[in-house]
Amino acid sequence: MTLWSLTVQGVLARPRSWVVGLLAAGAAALLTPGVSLMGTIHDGTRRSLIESGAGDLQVYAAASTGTPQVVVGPGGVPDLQPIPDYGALEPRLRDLPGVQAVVPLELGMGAVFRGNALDEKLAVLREAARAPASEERDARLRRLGEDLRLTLARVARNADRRSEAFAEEPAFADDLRVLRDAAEPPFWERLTEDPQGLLEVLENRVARQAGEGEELPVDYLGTDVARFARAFPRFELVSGQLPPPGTRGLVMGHATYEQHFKHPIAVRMDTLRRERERGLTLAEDEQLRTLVERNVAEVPDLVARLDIERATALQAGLARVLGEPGELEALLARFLSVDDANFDTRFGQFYGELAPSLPLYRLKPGDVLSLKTPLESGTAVPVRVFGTFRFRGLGGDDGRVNTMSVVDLVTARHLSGRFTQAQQDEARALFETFGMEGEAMAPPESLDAFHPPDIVEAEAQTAHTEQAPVFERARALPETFSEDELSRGTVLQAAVVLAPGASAEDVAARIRALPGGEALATVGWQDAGGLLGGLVVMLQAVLLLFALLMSSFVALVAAGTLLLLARERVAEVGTLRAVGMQRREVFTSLLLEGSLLGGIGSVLGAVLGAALLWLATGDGVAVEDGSLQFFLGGPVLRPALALGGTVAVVVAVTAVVLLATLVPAWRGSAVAPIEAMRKGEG
Amino acid sequence: MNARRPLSVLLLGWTLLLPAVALAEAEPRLAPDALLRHIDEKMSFTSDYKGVIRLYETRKDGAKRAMEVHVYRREADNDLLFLSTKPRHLAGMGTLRIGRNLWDYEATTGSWRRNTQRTNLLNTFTCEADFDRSRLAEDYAGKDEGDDTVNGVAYRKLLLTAKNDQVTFPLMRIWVDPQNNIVKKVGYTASGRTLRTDIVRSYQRIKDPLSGKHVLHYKEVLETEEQEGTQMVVRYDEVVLAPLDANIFTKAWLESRLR
Repeated sequence: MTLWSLTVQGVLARPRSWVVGLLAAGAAALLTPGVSLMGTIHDGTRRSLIESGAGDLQVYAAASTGTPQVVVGPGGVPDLQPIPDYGALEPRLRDLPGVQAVVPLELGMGAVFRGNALDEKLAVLREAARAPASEERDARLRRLGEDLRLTLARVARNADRRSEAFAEEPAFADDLRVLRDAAEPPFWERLTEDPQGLLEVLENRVARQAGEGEELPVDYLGTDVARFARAFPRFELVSGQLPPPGTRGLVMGHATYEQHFKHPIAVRMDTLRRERERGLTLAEDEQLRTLVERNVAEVPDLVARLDIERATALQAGLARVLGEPGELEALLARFLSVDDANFDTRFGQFYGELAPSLPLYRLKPGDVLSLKTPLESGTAVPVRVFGTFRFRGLGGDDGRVNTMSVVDLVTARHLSGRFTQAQQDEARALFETFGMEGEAMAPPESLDAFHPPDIVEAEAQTAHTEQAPVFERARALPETFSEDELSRGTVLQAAVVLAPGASAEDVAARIRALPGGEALATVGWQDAGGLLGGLVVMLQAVLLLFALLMSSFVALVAAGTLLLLARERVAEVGTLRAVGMQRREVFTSLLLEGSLLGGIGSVLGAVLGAALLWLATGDGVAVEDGSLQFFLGGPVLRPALALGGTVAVVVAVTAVVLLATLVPAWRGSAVAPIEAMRKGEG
Repeated sequence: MNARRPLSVLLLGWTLLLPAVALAEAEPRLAPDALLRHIDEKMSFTSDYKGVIRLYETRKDGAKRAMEVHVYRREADNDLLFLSTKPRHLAGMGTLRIGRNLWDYEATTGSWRRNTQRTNLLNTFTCEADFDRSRLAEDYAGKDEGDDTVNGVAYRKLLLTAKNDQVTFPLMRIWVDPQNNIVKKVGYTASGRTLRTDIVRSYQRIKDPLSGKHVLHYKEVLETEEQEGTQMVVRYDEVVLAPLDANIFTKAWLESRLR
């Protein structure tokens, strides 16, 4: 009791020692909301991932070299082996206590190729030319031909302007002559007699002058689409519908639809509006002005993609909103040259009056995509787009997770390029036919131990004796599939959604205990989230580093302050020792002073931090940024005070101050009574 | 009598081996660029070319597949066509080069795609240059890197740097045997990362009916893709050196291969 009162008197008598308490309070005031915010981010990301495809657990084959993921990361698609006998496993998984739903998945990186404006029009013309010769076919060809000729006339005018500014290579100049010819009516006279001949010229000499094509990414999760939509509560259909049962089809991530399939000019108009709503202006922001310039520069490409009807309607619409007639390209360029004064009006006119005449989206629900995985050896698979979807509250059209599309498993398996049993059997038969079966089984050779090549005498045939090969067209994948086809095929990973209150660890243990469970492995939402899950770990590491730096600062300043104070207290300590106080008691008293300062400071700091957190966020803060929405688990930030975390902050800060007090207390207690007296005399 | 027999056997053997020795005689050591021109010359046909390429691929995970591709080439017009004939699900797929356009044809969807000349062909890691005429001197500048002795044979090593950006490999290293035949080729990125290694296992010597010259054509090549570790043996069979119809190098011809 005496020791405590001595300690309290010591603290009260030396206001300079309160600096230590203030330091502790500052550290606790910063760390308390930090820890709470971290907890909110962790919980938000966990909910976001679990509710958008990752589930609580992902089951996969233990023999795989990769781990399952639900979003394509920088490393691409993980290397997974098919789950052994998935058809038998799935009902067992569903029956496990604590399991609410099981959804088979397969992650893939798809892409759709799109040619330039002329490529697209020529593809339509080629399709028309494939039809058997008839009056109707010729009439259609003439109509399409005239449309194309007008487009080529515009392309030729642009090319002429370009060649006035830049010297052309002779080979390009030759192609330019062909383009000019193709823009004149005489070139088209033989269209109905020799459409193929005309097409060969246009496709090989003219089309590339309109620029290169592009590959549009369509990353997807192969799954049972209907079950996926039911199992993940954030799934929200934006347009169209889900593929009917047993029908192959894709529901596109709405972010992909908006970012890659919406016309770039419209995307830039949207961006301009968004940025202006955030307070930026065209007058002050160069990036915004660049967007306007790019829109104007892309007018020729947009016009080239229009058919006659749309071009005429658009021209009339532009003349109406601008109040004067003119050429389509010039009017559109003028319309898109927006500034701060006219942007809002033009934006409204763009969507209200011009959009019906514009190819606003490159595809719409009901269209068929030719989907391919560029990195795999599979062929392109035609697949119908049934609609678009997003995960509710996870970043709208900016959110990474909303770029993922979902497609039926049968299509995903074909896209993967994995060989079917029939293809493997055929490959074996071909090895034999080619006389390669021995070599095919040989282990890979060393690339450094080569020998001079053999040279064999051979004789070439000097006449073509065989007819050119002709094939039955490889049958495109049917639009429907049977239940048997779906369930018997390979599955690479399955998301397990748990019932409320079930423990992921317990369910993982039950999965391992299933018959054949030793061939299975599981990962949690954090691993399945790949980079998204990893960012939470990174944030935790950053917070820990911040806490360590702050602790070091608190410890150093507290130790320094207390050492100075200890030197000033030599006389006092000496007197206490002279009246019979033991060194151990003095040491304890000084240590208690430090603890008291640290304890009171950190408690007050934690209360202050909690108050600041409450004041700053109140009932929640609306979050506009799509990526942040994902990490916070929704569009509103509601950080809850982490009670456990707050107690840990108080204990940790007090402990740091206590540690910092050790040396000053030891030095301060090492004063002999005689030294204090000498100091007093001096 | 007994002493003469070994001598006569030796002479007979020498007489029989003489043509082979003459053929294997080392060629003169040429300057790097002259060597590239020399290799191009002795590997180029004057006649139109048609051949059947059979290849089998072994992936790192053990998956294997076999393919058969028909190659049509007309040196005069720079036209080139690959038509996949086996396996069934890839039959009818093709790649067509007309002028400066490289078109990929997807047989299942009937769609065409204009590609760059550095792209991979027919869902494999082969590329256009693999089946085109040899164009080392046009595309690359060579630099000697000394000799490399492997299994007792000294091979000349050259580093080739691309002169244009249309080639598949911006950098290439070749090993050339004393007869000035390429034995090994390694393709690199511009930064020097290895992309692919080819070992020429054998050549076939074919008389070109148009020029009357003997041309050295690949017979079997082992190709290894570095990143995925996929290996492929490519065999060149059934060469026909006869004029090809100009219609072959059209989209319509390739489309008409499918019923």
